Amino acid sequence: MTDVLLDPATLTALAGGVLLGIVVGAVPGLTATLAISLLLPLTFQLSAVRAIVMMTGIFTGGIYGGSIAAITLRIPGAPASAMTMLDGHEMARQGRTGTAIALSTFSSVVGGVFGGVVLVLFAPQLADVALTFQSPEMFSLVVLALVAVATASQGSLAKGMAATVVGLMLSTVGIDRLVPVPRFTFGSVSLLVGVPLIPVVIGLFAVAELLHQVRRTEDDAPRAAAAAGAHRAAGWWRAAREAGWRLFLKSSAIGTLVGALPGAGAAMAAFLAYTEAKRASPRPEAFGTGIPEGIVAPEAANNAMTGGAFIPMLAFGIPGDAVTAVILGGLVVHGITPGPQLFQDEAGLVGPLFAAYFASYALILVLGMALIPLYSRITRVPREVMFPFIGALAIVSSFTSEGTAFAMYVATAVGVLGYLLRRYGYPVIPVLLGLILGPMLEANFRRSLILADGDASVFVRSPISLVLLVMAALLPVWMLRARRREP
Amino acid sequence: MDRLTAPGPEGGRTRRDVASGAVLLGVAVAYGLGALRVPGAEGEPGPAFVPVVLAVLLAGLAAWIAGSALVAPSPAEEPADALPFPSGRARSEARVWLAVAATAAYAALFHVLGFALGTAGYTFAVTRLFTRNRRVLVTAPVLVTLVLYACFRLGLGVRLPPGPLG
Repeated sequence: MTDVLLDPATLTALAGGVLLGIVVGAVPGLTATLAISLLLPLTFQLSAVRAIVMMTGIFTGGIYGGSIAAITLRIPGAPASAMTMLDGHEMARQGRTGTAIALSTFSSVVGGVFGGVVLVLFAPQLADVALTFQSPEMFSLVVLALVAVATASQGSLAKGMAATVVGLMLSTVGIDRLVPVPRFTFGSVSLLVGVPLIPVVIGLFAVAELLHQVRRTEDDAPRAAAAAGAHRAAGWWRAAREAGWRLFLKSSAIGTLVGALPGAGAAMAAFLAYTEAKRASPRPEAFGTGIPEGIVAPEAANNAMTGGAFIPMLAFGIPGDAVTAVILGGLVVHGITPGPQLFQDEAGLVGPLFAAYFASYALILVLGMALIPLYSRITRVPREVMFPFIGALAIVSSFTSEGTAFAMYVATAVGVLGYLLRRYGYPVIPVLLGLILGPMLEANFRRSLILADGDASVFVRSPISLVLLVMAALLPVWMLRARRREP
Repeated sequence: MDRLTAPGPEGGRTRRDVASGAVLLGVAVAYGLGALRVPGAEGEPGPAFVPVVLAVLLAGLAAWIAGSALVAPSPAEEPADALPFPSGRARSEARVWLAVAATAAYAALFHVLGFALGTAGYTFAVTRLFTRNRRVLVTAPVLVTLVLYACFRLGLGVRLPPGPLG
């Protein structure tokens, strides 16, 4: 299985895929899904093995790359990096950019390797578990994720919940997924497909941050202090030990399990892992102030998700998220049909895929650590240059993500929303999660009731669904008790 | 102290909570009325069900936020993000809305002016909100435009609108 990676051309395809994935993941507005989609025609020229290896590299690199912009620019390169941004960027502001990126890189590798090991050893068993998650269970899991983020966010619980509901409201815009009627489109053709996600991410974080910084033009001291030791990664190993191996394992397990659930995605994995880390921490009030745990949990989880996402795709041909959906398309184009027979019929392709997966994380470790001085320079750019750059980057990225002027308007409008939310003490991450998970929540809710002939007890008859709903109900109580312990 | 509406890092229980609560309540009512106009469907909750539930939820949360702030005593401290000089606040807010206008204009004129002119003009306008240093005002627009061109056009092959420069 590893022999195939010794082929220079295959290794080049992998390295190119990883590097491209990191770059694409680091640029707000670009995603691994977009990169793989654009490169799919290119892979037609490659053999099936090299095509799979390249796509795997882009996938893993893209998930990792999102944390770089989140840490250095306070703009998540991907929605899944939004939680990493909270403590990662704060650590960068304290002059520890190198430490933050090194910790993020290490956590990503640990999570990715964990997910890969589970993929190799337990793919069929986990696929069976994933199959037990039907519509009621998926609905309850989404409820848990939404409640978790609302309660873990800074500020009051009521404001966190309100922000989540705002995000859910945004997700209802467009044509209804079960009954083809338009909702809240105001006659706009552009809104028929709903509010585009990437411009919302860019607006909520990049544009809103620009507006926030424009408001405060005095006090340049924090940036000057950050420049002094930004390039050094010193202390990252101590920070990793401070977070503890249990946190690495737990977050990776959460990420792998969530990744194995079709449609759940890296964002949910990161949000759940961060929330659990905060809930279980003896110092929950420190989250968001630049502590290692705030980087380790989401990064280990969203990279472990990559291994988990391959499980339903390979075992059943059901993609775990958007990226694996495109990869699935690539496999089909190359004449490979994922499913139970894949491991027998196409063993010659599964082996290289596994090898490429682990090798990509080795490359991420090397590239991530080696490029820290380069990433750290970003934090030394004067703010009067940096933030106009961020504003222009935001608009151009929005245009690039959708190819329409409408996307730019969305980014601008949502940027104003994000600024106002922050000004009035509302967290913005629940808005993002509400937008991402809203369609899943509603579709599974209505589908469950349809299949149960309107019997609402369907959500509590399933033990898994019941447990998840009870956890969702108890989580605010736990978090409020944790807050009462704060000094 | 009621932990459900305990102070966050930016503001806490101030008149801002009353204002934001009132705005959210208005949003909830408008959204709910819009939801009631969505056609229903036979035999299932229908496309209007979840929006109506969300409207009720938001209205309840908004009322709680505003109501808690109304009954709370006035805070002794200013919010964490308040600026030190009251006279500067109006100027700061004006800068924000100028940045919003510049960003909206950039988006609106992106295809008309093209990438190069639009980006340079936008960068100049926003940089001016941060500094009056002439060297920065001249170099920043050029630098930002070149970097973004290199990344998107040359690096990623994205077609950027040429505008009148062709």
